[in-house]
Amino acid sequence: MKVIYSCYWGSYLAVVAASLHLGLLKWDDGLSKEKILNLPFFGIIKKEDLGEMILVGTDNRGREVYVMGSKKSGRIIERSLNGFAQIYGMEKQKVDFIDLINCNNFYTSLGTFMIHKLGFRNAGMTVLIWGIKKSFSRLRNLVIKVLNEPAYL
Amino acid sequence: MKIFYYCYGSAHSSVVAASIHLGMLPADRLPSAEEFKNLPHYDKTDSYEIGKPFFMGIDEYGAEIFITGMTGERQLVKKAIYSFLKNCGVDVTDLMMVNALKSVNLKTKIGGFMSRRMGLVMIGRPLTIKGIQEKYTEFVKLVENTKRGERNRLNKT
Repeated sequence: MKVIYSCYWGSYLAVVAASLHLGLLKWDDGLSKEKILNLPFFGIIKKEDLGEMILVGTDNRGREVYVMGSKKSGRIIERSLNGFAQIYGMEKQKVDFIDLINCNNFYTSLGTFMIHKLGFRNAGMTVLIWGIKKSFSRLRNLVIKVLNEPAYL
Repeated sequence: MKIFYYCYGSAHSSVVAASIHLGMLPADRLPSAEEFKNLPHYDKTDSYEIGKPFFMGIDEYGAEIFITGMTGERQLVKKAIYSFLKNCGVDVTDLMMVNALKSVNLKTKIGGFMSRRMGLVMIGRPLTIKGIQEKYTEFVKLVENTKRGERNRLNKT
């Protein structure tokens, strides 16, 4: 089974969710800027990598955990991947695609805009991380739901 | 082999291209409006189905023909599909993705928007057909090119 956490760029909310899933970030961690910046793939996925599945790790139940940048097309990509899995006879290779677009807020949007469009990386990162902290409980609940789902290996 | 004709919403151009490919529409004359309306999925795919691939049939070389919608993010969606298949260990050498949207004109785009997005089927559907009829020879050429590519991959002359 493949779990894909997806957000616009694939390298912010998706990375935090994947890190929570894999235990790289603890539930009760203080979410310091330094801790978030050191998560694997955080902030380093480029425009040309959008749409690529990037493996972050394998969880203790054998599920491969990926991140993907899907812009605002998460739902379409989810339907596509499930459709292709069925066509290629991989129903057992279930895809759990978690579109995190609903976890975005004003600060995450502003932060990514500052980083990617204005080139203000440091200031943008501070705003973005503030936004991630604001969405953290929603992210955590989503990840807990995924962790509690049955795993088809 | 699997061939996927893709367009914006898998309701018009991909349906027409796949239908020509499968002989459900003629390649040697202009089909009537009725022939378009009777095609499976023609102007019927809803927004919540965009992205889902639909099986249309099997061609004379045994290839399975599908249609799918990718909205305006065709490069992104295609990349995600290839990345997924690669990560699942699928050999993609027998997979062809064909963009059917490049044969579409403004009439079909406006008609499609009116029918699928605004629900004005009575006005939108005839407009999509009119647009496709105007560009029909391009659809036939697209399918001929696709079949040529298909034969090359299958090493058939």
